[in-house]
Amino acid sequence: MAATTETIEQVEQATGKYKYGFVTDIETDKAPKGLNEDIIRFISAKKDEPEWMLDWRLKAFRRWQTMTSPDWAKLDIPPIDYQDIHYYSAPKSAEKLKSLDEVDPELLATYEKLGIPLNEQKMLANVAVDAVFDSVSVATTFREELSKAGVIFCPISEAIRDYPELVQRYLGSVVPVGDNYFAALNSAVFTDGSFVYIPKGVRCPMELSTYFRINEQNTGQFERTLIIADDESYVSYLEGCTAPQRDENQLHAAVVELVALKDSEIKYSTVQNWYPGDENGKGGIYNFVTKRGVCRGDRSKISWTQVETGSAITWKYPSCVLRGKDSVGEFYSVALTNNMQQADTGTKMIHIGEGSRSTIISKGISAGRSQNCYRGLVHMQPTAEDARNFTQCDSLLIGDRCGAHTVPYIVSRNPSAKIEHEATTSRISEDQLFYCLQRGIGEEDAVSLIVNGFCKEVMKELPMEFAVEAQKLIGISLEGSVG
Amino acid sequence: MPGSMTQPDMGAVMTDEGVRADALARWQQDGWPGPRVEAWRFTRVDGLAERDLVPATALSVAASSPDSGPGAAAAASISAHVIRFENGILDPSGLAALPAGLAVREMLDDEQALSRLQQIAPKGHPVSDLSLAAMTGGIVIDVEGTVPSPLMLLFEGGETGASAHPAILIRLAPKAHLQLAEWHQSDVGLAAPLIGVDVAADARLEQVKVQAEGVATTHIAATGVALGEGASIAGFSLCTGGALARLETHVALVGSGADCELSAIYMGRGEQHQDITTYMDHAVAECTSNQIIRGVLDDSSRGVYQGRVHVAPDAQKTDGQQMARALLLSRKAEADAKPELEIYADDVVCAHGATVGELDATQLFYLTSRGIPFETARAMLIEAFLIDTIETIENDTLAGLLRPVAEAWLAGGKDL
Repeated sequence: MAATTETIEQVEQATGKYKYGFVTDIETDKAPKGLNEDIIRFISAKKDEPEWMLDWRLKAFRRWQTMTSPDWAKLDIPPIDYQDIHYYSAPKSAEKLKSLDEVDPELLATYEKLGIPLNEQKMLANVAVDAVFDSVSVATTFREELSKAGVIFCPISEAIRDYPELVQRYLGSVVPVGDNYFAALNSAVFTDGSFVYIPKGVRCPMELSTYFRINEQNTGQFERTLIIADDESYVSYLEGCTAPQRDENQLHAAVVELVALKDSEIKYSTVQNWYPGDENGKGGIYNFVTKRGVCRGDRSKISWTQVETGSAITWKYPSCVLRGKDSVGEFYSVALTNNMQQADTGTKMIHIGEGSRSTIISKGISAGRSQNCYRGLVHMQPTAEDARNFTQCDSLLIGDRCGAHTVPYIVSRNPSAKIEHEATTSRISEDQLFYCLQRGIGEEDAVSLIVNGFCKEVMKELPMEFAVEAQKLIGISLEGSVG
Repeated sequence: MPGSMTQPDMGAVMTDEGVRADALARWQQDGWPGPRVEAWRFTRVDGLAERDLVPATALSVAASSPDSGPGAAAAASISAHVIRFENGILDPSGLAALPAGLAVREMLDDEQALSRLQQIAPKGHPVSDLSLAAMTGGIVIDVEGTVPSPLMLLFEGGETGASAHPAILIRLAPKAHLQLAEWHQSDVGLAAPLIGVDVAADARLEQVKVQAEGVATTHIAATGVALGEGASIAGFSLCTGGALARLETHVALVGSGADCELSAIYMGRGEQHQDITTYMDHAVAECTSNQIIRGVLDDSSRGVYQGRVHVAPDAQKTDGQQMARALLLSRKAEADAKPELEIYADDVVCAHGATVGELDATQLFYLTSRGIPFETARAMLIEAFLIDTIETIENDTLAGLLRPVAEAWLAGGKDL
């Protein structure tokens, strides 16, 4: 099948209502509900981890126990019973699989419904997929091609075993175990995720993508991703998510750490489309994610692009610590909320290095009775000579029962640093809508068209495969918000 | 728990019940906010609890000549009627010979006025409670029609160990018009003025505030404004004084067609800390608010602007604008800003902008390339940055009060 066909099919699949609300019936191997040191020892033992990893987890857990859930976001989070969650759940196929043929057919069918092009990957534009099903990576392909380039792309549990020196050096170096409540929880109980290492001077030959999938009722998902780009390397990483429809809320607390060394570049793109709950706010995923990258080396660059349309509650601030001289941080975001969804998302740009630059473009769209908040920090430290930031936050309101909020924090401690921030809030222009309607475009299509136009600056940053899907997603997510 | 500030001397006024007793109870419970309280994250005031400050009492009024200070001179220059507070205590001579349209009396235990002041005062602000409870002097100002000459509220005093808690309620009757100047120039330990302004339908208040407190003074002001239908306020604050100063103003736009212009400039030098915090509560439809904030920070000073624009669910056709700019003149200066939009209605036009940086190198180059010495060029640009904002004040009389203060600050710069 040609790449284009595959893409169109995926898009067509996405045009219905939320199609991904299905549950795969696979026997799972899971830990009893609850969270204590024994559970952490259990997870660590299941993963066959070295002692240092267990100690690291326990340290995080002890830290977590002393912390409280953050309450500063404009979010109404129902109390979460952390003892009522399974912290480990793995598809039962314990043995490592050598090829796709050995993967549980039911699993493969699930991916097919999701539109993950496992079989068609080679045709579909060089996409290597490390598919995470619940907590264990079950299939990793394109390994060979990547290893030829010297790229390491594997589940983090494997990396802990096979590349302990890299993991020990970088894990927790960007997001320390005690960074925040959810990061501490993740550090204690993470079960899997991706590990990427791009060696010096290597341009990763393909875009890396991981599809996360939440399955199994009452299973929290705690992915851990670590990406290291060595000197003069480049990698583009794509992350996309869908989750089965559930009535009970599911907790997701991932941590993503990026390390960019001298002259390297990491581009991290996300399309997040987890189950947002129904029209009345029943169900849906709680998405509490800590994503942060450090531009350690001079002239290094980290770029975050996100399209957030799913989840009942989103708490997410992909950030850049710009340590290197002339390092660059970028944040491009579209956050769309409808019905009863709540999103509090934004970024932090911490300027430390001389000549560091950052750009923040955030587009928030609220519809229905949803609440959408941009929260961001631009911090110029005294050392950030001639640093530069430009921030633009635009909010669009669809309907009169939703909320759009902008909470930027600006701290400047260097006179030569320049910060510019602008934000606007308005509703869909009646003129634009009238123009479309008058030319025979239906109201929903017109709204979708206008909203996509509003988001264009961000959408164009997405890799092509995602851009098409993301555009469709925005249309779908807005269904029922007009008329 | 705060030290002596928990037991303001209530004298004979205090009873077990009433607005002031309630305020005292709240204050005793909450005290000064710590650094973890979001609204106070950039400005630390919890240290005040350690200071041995005592609310000024009538006995401490020094026998100074009320007509001698710069505030009085400024008042004379615009022929303003002066009501003076010394260490937060009312000088009753100001209540005589009032201009037409003004009626002023002492607040005392007027529960109705106290209750209204408490309603309008910034919610959750420590001074809203503390200065009601520890009120050192209170007045109610009623305004009818157009008051021909400006009114100046002059706050002076030299009691460094005292805290001043003047509480003032200003009520503008429908279609009334008042020009008001506040002049704060004292050496008290803590100046904590609480001011409530009730602007009835179609009334207008033009107001300027000069905060030129002494170098050791902490100035924490809480001002609440309620704007009725078609009412308007044009307010402007200029802050140069104090060791630490925070001007917090909450405006409730509760009548449609209300309009609020609220601007400020602040200048910091040495170790000064200047904080401008505003909250615009657009509660009803078709109101407008506009804020222009500019700050210049030299040496190790720090400037903070926090502005929140809240648009309630039915407040359609709201226009809310904020523009905050800060100029850093020194390597050790710091500027913090948090312009916030909180919007629950869709048919609105709201925007904010914020910039922080140093003087524009190209502008400096332009001037110096034309033979203007560097230091002069720099001074010209700083002056232009600040004076520009003063030029936006419609009322020339009131603007005239501010220019000399800004110029004096500029002239005091070590680079000039």
